[in-house]
Amino acid sequence: MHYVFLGIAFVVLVYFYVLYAALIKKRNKLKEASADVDVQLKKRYDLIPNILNMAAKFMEHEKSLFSEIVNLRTQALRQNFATHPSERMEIENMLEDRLKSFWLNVENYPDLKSNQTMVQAMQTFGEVEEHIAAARRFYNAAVADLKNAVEIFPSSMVAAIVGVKADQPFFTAPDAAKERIDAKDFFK
Amino acid sequence: MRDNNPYLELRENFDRFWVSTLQPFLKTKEDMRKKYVSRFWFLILLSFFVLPMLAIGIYMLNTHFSKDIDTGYFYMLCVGAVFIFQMPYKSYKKKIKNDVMPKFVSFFEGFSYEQGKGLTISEMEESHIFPPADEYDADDCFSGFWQGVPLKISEQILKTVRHEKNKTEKQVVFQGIVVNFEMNKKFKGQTIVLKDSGFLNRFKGFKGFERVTLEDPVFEKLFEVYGTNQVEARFLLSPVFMERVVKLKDLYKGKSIQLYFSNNKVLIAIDTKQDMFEPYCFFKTNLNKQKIDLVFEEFITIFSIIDLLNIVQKNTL
Repeated sequence: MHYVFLGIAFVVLVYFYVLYAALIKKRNKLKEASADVDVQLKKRYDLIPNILNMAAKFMEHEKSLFSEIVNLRTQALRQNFATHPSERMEIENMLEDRLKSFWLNVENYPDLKSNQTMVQAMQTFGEVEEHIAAARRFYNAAVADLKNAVEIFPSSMVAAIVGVKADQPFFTAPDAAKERIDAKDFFK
Repeated sequence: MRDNNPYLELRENFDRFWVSTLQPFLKTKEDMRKKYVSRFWFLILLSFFVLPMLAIGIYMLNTHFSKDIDTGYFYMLCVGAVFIFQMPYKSYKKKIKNDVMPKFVSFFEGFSYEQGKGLTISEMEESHIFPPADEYDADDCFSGFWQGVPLKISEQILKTVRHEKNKTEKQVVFQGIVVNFEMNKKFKGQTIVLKDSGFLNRFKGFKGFERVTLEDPVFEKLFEVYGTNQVEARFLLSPVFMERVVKLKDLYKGKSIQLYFSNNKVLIAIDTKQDMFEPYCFFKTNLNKQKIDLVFEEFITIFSIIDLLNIVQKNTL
């Protein structure tokens, strides 16, 4: 009889260990995904000064936009995404919005738009943006995985015992991107 | 439908190419075909005479001269005869292909044809998208450019060999086309897209690769992805690209499609389970436009893969 209880206890222990190991793996995967987001965002920050320098000669009337971008870049560089995800997401959304305005304004400067170095910079920037989008998707998948494990029984029990939390936010599209566009506005 | 077909102009040009180049060329090959067909019929007639004579000979030796000759020898001779019958057809196939295919592919600018020069064994093994095999054969191989994209198409046949006592059994585990081309994205790692194997997925694994779970439910139902880098796999398999791969799967309905991304290149293996690029006839005249059209369509389908996956377009904002 003793052996039966010991056997059951052993199986239960192994089961809990498997749940614990899976939970820790998911938490580490999220850390990896957060670090990847940082790496990809860093590529964007490295490109911004080069692009602004190139554009400054042509876009003299957009100084305020330039300084906004530079300020947001400096703010973003102060914090790490892995430790301050919510704050960084907010800054990133603002920076993205400003960068979008910048690229729209580039359209008004045909000389700049057709400049070969600028064309190359645009291509590189496009590629970096795709990498950022991929890193965000990886991060969101890792957050969803960990949230599921932390919130669904029986791994939720193990998470509560060992203190694993899933309070990291998801990357979402900025509110401006969700706004409804009225086609009539384009024909005014 | 006509307006929606982007290859309509190409088809019209091909029809003109048939009249101006291919048809006259195939006419010159008709005598050669007839020569091989005569050889074939000669061998058949010869066998009608030789095989019954041998059968009678063995029977006479066994009954009248009390010799004990195993009838197995006769059956072996019959198998040998079947092999010999195929020889004119096989020789003709090799010769006509080497003559016709370079002419055929000259229609597509910059394309060349080689027989038997497919992927290397190590290239196939490294990709993880082919089943394990003991024999690797390549049939037709084409290389050239489509919309500026360097492209290589090869027809591969993979077999497993099983030795059992006195017999050797060969089984085809892959017969189809492999399309190899450069992507418009730069990447360093490796990503594999395999067909979904249901619950068997959990038993799969490749050294150095991690399972990549993607957000497209349709894609996830059809495929399973493994990669050496999670971000890079998602960079390659963007939501739009995933949709295109699903469309590609629809294009080759029922066929297994698997992809391997490495070194800025993608390898697409399509298990068509049939011999492709066969533009000739043996018993009927070679001047058969339908046969040539079929090969042309096979090419167009492959080109549509590149168009469908939108490989040509470079990243811009």
